Amino acid sequence: MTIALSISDVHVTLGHNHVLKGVSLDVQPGEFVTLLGASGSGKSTLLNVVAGLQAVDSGHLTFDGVNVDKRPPQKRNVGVVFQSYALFPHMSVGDNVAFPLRAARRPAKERRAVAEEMLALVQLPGMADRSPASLSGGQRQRVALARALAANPGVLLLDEPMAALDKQLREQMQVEVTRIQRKVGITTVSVTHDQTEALTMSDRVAIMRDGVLVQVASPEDLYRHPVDEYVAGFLGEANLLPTAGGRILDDARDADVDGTAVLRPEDLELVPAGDACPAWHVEGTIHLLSFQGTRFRLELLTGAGRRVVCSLPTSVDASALVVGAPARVACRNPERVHVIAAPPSKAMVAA
Amino acid sequence: MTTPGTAMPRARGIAPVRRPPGTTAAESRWLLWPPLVFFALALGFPLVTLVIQSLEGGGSAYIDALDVPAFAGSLMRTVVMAVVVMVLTMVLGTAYGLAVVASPAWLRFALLAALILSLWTSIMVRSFGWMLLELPRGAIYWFLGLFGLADEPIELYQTTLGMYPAMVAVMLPFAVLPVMSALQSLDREQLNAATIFGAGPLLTFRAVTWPQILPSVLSGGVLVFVMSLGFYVTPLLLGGPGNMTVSGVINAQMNQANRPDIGAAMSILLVGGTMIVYLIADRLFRVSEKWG
Repeated sequence: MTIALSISDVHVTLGHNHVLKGVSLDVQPGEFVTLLGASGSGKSTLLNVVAGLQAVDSGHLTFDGVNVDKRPPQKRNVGVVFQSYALFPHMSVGDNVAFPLRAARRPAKERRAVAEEMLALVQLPGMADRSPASLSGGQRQRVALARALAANPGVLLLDEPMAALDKQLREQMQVEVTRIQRKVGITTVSVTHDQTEALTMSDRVAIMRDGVLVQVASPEDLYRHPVDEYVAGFLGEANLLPTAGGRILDDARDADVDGTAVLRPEDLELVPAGDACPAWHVEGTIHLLSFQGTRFRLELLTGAGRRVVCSLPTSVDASALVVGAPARVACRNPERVHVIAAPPSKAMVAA
Repeated sequence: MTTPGTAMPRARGIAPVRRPPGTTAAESRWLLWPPLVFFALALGFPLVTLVIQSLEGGGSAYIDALDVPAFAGSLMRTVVMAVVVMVLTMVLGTAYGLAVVASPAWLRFALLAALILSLWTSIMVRSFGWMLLELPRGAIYWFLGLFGLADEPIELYQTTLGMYPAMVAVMLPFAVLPVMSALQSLDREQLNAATIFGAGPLLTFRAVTWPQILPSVLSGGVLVFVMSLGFYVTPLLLGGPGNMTVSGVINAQMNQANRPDIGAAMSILLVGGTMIVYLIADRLFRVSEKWG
């Protein structure tokens, strides 16, 4: 069972803090949407609203078109993987996984069968009698996921699911959780502050900032066409440069500027001296060159003192790239240049 | 996968590293002496004196002690009383602990203040307080009178029923504190998880909260039981002569019958029995860990 989730104009105030300021989001059945934002952006609160753990001041929540505003968490039939996993330490792995069925008063036989089935799904067959304390971090997460899916919920909620894992395990579990989510085909809302995780796992990513959804789009769309500087800087590295009439205006006065060009470091390339230069180009002096294994990272300082980051393939002849020497970089494919219709703010490179 | 058994020696091996820099085992060991000396003087010395006193007649005092009819009777009574107090305190203490944790801030403060104040007040004062409540024309009588419910003086003072509320009140903090600390260290997300997965408050308590606080409830109970074995003032004041405890019988041997050797033998039997009960309970429920 999987459902369409609709959040419309939800407001939440905690104390004097307006945490959610009119959030609306529609999630299609089976879709994986990630709420991405810095801590304090309200993403966890939004997850709690869907789960029913947080009451709303105003706004509505529907599951398959049915209003669930007044429905208590017990009756919402959502599955949650908590940040700490929140496994019950005194119960066996099998009893943990079968807990939702116990709460639903299903017979013991069915509980055991479902626990086995779920543990097989998360690739922990035969672990039902183990204690959670005897499992590794990754195994505990699988158990938490198995428990979340055991009662065949309509929505799966993941609260910072990878936060407790080390980096290598994190990448492995991102793939694994996505595999299971696709296999079960369950509508999923995940919360994270890790952009790689958001890009890897999601069908769509919702960028959240100060209680508002800034942009909701597919990972590629977000990366290519950010609506503002915040989104551009939040996902990957971006050079944000003032533009006027389809060109970069390095020494522009505010009056002339009609927008901000978002240039990704990997879309820039060196233009040898004497070659004709494409429209989208920047001139400057070399500030820093570092070798990063698969790429060179080149930093230019423009005449106006802006820092431009450029990621070059290692096939580039690096001998000419001396610190202090002049250089030109350009984006040859105009489609890769995205212009935000607002002049850039002071921070030119957001990491 | 490492089992606790194989991990232990390694943990011991790195332990010295955790000492503050510049100190060695020999240097820090002197810190142990003040408490040891204190215990030797405050506990060991009187105990040794008691043992010597009890052995004055060549050990016959122990036989005499067991022959005193009041002793066996009071021993039985004391154990039953300690069990009743333990059970009542565990039930009430758990409820109190849950109430403290579940309360809004102001009520939690009030509940904790009441608990700590009672812990700070002398057991003598509290027993007299209960006496004033329970006297035939005491505070309870007056209070019932306000509603026209007290026709004749109430018979509570110096009865078995009269001493239990006071004893439970005296022991309550020792049952509440471990339960409270267990409740506070309970992972909130586990309670949220239980709710999310469809459990109502009852199932959440029974399946998630209770199993995790049970060890602390038991350890509080053991402590209350052991301490209740030594009750003297409260049963004497409120329970009357019919409810004399072992401590009361010992007092009678020492001060009235003028047989300090028998009194000493009874004391040793009581202390020894109490220690055995505690050690067994500690093995079973790890009481000392809950209070460490």
